[in-house]
Amino acid sequence: MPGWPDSDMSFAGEKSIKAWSSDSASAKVCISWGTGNKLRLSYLHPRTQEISSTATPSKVVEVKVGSVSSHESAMRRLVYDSLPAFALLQNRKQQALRQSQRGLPSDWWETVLQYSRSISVVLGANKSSSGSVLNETSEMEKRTLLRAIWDLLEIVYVDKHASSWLTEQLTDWLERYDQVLSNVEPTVNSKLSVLKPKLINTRFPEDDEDYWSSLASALSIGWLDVVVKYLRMHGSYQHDQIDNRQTENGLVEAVAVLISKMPRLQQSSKTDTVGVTYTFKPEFSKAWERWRNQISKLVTSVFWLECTHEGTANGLKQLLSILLGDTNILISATTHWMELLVSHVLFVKPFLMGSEGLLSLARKCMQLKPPIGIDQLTELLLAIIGENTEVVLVECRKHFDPWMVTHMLELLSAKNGQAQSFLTEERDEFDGLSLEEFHRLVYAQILSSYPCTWQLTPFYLASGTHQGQGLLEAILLMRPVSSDSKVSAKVLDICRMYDLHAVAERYKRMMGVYYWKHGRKGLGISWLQCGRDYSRLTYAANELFTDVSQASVGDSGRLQELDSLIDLLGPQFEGFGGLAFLHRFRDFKGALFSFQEGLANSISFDKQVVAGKTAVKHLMQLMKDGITADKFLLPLLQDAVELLNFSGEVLVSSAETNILLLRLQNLTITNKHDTVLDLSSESVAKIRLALGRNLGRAILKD
Amino acid sequence: MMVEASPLLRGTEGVPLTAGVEVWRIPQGGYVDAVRWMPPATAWHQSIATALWDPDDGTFKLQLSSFSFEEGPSIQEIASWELPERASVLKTLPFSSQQAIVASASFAGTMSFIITKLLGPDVVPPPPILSSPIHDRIITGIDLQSDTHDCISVGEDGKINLTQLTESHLSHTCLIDNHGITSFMDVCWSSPAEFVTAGLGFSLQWWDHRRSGGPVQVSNKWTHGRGGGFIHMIDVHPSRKHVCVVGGSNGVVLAWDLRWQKEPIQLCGISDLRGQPVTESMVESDVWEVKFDPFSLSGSSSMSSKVPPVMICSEDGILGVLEAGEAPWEILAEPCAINTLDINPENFTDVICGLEFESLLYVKRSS
Repeated sequence: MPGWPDSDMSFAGEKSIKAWSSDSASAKVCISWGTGNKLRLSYLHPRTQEISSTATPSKVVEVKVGSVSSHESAMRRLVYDSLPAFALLQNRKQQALRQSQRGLPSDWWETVLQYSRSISVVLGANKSSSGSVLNETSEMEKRTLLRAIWDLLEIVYVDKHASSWLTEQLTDWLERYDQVLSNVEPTVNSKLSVLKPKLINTRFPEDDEDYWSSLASALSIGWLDVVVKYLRMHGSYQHDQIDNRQTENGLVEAVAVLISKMPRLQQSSKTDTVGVTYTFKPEFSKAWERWRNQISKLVTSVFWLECTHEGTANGLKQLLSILLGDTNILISATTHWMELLVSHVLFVKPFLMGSEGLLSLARKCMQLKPPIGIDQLTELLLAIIGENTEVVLVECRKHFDPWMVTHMLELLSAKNGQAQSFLTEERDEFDGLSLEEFHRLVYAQILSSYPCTWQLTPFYLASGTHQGQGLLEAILLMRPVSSDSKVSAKVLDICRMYDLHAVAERYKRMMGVYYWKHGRKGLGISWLQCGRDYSRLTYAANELFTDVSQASVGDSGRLQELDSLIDLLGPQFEGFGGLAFLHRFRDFKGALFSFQEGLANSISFDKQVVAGKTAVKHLMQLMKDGITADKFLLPLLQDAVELLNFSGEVLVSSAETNILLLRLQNLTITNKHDTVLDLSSESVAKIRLALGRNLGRAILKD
Repeated sequence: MMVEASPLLRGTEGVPLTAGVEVWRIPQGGYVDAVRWMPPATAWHQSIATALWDPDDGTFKLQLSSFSFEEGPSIQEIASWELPERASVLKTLPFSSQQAIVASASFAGTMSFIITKLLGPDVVPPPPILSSPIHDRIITGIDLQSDTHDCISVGEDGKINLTQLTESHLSHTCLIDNHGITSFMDVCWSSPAEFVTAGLGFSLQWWDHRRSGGPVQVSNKWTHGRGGGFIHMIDVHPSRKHVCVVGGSNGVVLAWDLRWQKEPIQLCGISDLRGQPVTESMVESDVWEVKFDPFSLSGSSSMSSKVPPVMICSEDGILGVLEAGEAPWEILAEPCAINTLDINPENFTDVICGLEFESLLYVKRSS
């Protein structure tokens, strides 16, 4: 199919092919695969250079590789519409396999038949299939051809009953798909479409040789209704004629009646078919004999001598010879070997049952009517008729895209145990993969490279015991991380459905890091929480703290912003390192702020004391072991100085002061050589002084 | 181009449709980002607005189409414009008795507005008025106020912007900017001055744009113990402004009645308010849209103490109606996600949805 990449082009992902630059100070060009068969060229502006208004800014361009096709949307429609039937079949298969260890039940083919019919309907829905109608005839033909092969596979490989009604099945099939049999030589269908417009304007079509040859062709492949209809357009039916054409007309009518009385072996009588339906074989063979006798009688009748129109006499005789199964006439009446095959099963071997004799008959027909030029389908058709699974697979891979191969494998193994083991057998040359799984992997990889179909891959990968699961995990983790919540929800939903908890967790962490890096702190924390990434959450909390500690105490706006963020972290995360710290720090800062506010606004003394004590309480929470990292201790103690120096009342008890002193002592001992903490500075001395003074006051008060 | 709908063919195995519901699928040539009913010119001239993404050539389209229902539904394009960026939200509203607004927001922080005569025969809508980026990247939610026509927008960047529009001019005011520290996922007006926002961790905030500073009320404290998760969509009841419903991750649908409750009512979700797993939940993955459903309003639910029924659509392909204390009504289960839904404001029986498989879904409930 156009627009679908060759398999070596379709690998999904953002894998960079090459980053090229001529010199480090100048611009860089990166080439990488985009989605589908797009190549992404990124021009990166050099970092060192000042971005001047004249310089070209960095830019990303996507180039589509291969033919630009307008039919991708039609192809996607096929992908979407065929999915439910395939998924349903896989479900049922798993159910059936769970119920019995010996493999699929004997009536499994009926389930596959349902599947096959649903897909055939999807393939036939080419008119209103998508917003953009398949308007190009070549595209329509391709779709019809796909359906033709699909339906023939169904007749031979799936439908167990089909072998009993093989003649009718093949005739029906040819009627639907004669027009796509060959694109080099004319078929019966094309012959008739030439004749049709001519007939409307002609009073006496019997004078035209094409009329008779077209009728013979149509009859040879069993299009009885067309033949009867066209025969009744014969000139002898016209009333206002000078010549006496009664005998001639009688002969035409006799042939038409004989044709419409042709016995047919059918499962049930269809209203629109011409002929007499028999469902029971012995009855059919009796009727067949009777009917053949009637034809022979007519052939030897004396009325032919009275028929004055030479064209009519010859034409009718030719039709009768076809009914009698004259091989030479059949050869000349048909154009394609498939047509010849159908004419043989119709008129020469009407009792052919099953497909055993069909292959040799088909080979014979091909010899009698060798395909003109290189007919690509011949091998495939022959292989299907002969149930030669290996060749069918090879030919389908040659002619059709992975969609067809993946979906039709189900047909091949419907009732044919041999084909089933051929397809599911684990092969060393494929690293232990079976053919079935191999083709699903190929198809899934193509689906994964398109932005609208990647999410369908699990349907084709989940059943794979070997590499399917691995590829699925890789596809999920290769999804570009972006703000499109639909994509992230999809990835997580797939993980939920297929129990890929580890992948889900990893993806959530990737999302967390993405948002954090882009300054969406809340989103980052939320995703990290979902992914239970406690080490990064701790890092995030530390960074938030740095943010807070850099803000001046009076900057309540900043604190309020973070407030919602700290709230977001939720109480259940309090036990985790920096987060617990941040919670308590927020509370301490809040209390300290109201204390300071009280000082500035000179509120009542009692209230002032309460606010101060609350702040101290929160400070002591922070001083508990393992809550506060050393590097944050000093700023905290600096904040505490204000509380320690409160003149009205002793806010910090002697025990509490001792704890603070102990912490400061530990800090100075363990970090003696730390230049960052700057323990020698004045501020430490200030803290020591405040602590010492407060201790004195507290002891006195006690 | 005329696109005809095909009646939904369902195999024997398909989920049986509830009696009295007809469903059609209308294939589109691209991914449906959003779909909304347009205010109709007359009852016979229904039309819709669609935001489409064409994955083949990477273009984004805003399309207005007439919607006709003769021998099955079909849509016919009236006008369409290429958008510079992918649409993230789409909203429609009557502007006056003669006009309608179509507002769309994008992944790049821009907005576009169309003010058009009501779509009937021979109406040629004007091209959209495009704004400069007013948010840093994606706008996650917008809402149009029905009286003032003000447009409120929120984004991942933590900004809340108010956009006022006249026939040809847009003016923006930034109400809140928390520099991406928290993000908002959706916004909904509850009165000409008040609105509700939601986002991270199943929290709601009530705001009044006349008051500066933080939100008037915050719901965080009510949902302690829920852990991580996101709200995707809010709806405030059109006549009962104190009733509000949200949908988000893990199939969660919560309803609040501001007058009574300390805690929200949970209508759906895989775990309850305390994080305990719930055995049967109609939806198990993200709920993409919630909408109060006037059609399903039964006698009992018209009582003012009860939260009215809500229609939802979800990532796992469920379209259904939820009501507190009633069994959920699963209208249909699709093989793909239902990303967006809209109930026809003129005819509550009609629902239009956007499917992941590049189609629209038209649902008609028999009245």
